[in-house]
Amino acid sequence: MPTTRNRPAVGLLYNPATPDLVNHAPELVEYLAVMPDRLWFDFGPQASGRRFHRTLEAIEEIRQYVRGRLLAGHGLGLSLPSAIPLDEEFVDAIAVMSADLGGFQWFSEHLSVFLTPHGSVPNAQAGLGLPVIYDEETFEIMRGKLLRMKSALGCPILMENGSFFTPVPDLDMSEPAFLNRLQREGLCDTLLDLHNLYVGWRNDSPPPSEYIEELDPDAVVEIHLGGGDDFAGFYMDSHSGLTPPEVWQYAYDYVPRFKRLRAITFEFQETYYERIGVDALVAELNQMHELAACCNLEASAAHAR
Amino acid sequence: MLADFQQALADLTASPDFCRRVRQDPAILHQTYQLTDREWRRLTAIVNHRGMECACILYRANRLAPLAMNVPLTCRALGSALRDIVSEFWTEYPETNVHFYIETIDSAVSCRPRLRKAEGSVLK
Repeated sequence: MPTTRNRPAVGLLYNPATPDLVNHAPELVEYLAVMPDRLWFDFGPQASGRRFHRTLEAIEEIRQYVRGRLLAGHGLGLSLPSAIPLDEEFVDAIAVMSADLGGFQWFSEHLSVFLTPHGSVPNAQAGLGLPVIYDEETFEIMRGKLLRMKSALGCPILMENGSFFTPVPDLDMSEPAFLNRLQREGLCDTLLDLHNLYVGWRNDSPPPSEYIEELDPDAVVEIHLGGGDDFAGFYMDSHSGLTPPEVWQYAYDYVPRFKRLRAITFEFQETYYERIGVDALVAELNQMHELAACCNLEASAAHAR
Repeated sequence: MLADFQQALADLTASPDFCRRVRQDPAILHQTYQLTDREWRRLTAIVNHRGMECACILYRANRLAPLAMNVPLTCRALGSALRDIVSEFWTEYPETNVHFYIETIDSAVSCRPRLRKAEGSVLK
């Protein structure tokens, strides 16, 4: 008999090292976010044959590990703020994968420009997420795409704040104001990546507290935690380590305010798995449960287990 | 226009050399892109921001990672020649692929003539 809880689920962004970690502490992982982009080879809209070739073994493995856990999708490749049409084939492929895995509870995408409008091939990728112009034009581009995605996927959509090294000056709206408006107009909710805010602050952006204070706490449905490292005089969002103490502090200060929060998610890059170590990751999951216990959610956000 | 702004920012991120040229003469942006004055001012500010160096590093790191993971022996064999070979490829094909295998295959196929050229001096 499922029981309803009034705190967010604790989980991981799925990668090839996740099964080993889950095997070490199955009871600590209540939620998994999977990235469809990493579960297929996309040969692009111009592919001569089938466009998406799934990695069947990886999908089968995920199927085992999502059983009894909350599941969501996390995307990289749609680049909703780009001044290009929505990639309908891509959205349809996500919908098929969601159905195949039992249904995403929500689907999140990055609030960044990842696809370039005038590349030499369709859906040309920029190599990293680039900053967004927060104005009416971008808002209208995103409105149409978000409505279409909600309809195609049949679940709420979340947009995640990015980590940028080059702030765009003279914007009509701040990023939190843009996210607030997207939520107010019923287009999407927010995935707040606390480590991304820390990355920005370490690289000369304003402190995370300013950003979070401006953000509508009721927009936040998921948070991301993670760690990075220093390189060439910059702090990078490399997902190479545990959550820094400063980020934990923001989490304890602000997360209890997020009354619609459904998941607290830790991100790490699988190539750093051994370096971080299983014991440290299990300790991180335990701390995430302590954070979750500080939350007292609204009934509408509580979830069954 | 927004599409041109986004493309210009992507092109700048992919090319430290283009960044240097725009820093010296920001007006050259108008030769390639249709930009409003506001977009042009934004790009000029971005390209002069210290974070632009980091964005360029990250772009190159993201393109190097698939090669280091999938063809590490080739990277090792090329040694100091690797930098010039991949830089030439990245300049010619600035668009990347999030899939490491596809990015690696694209790189390997496109770099084949350059590798042949380097063969005499490096691979032997």
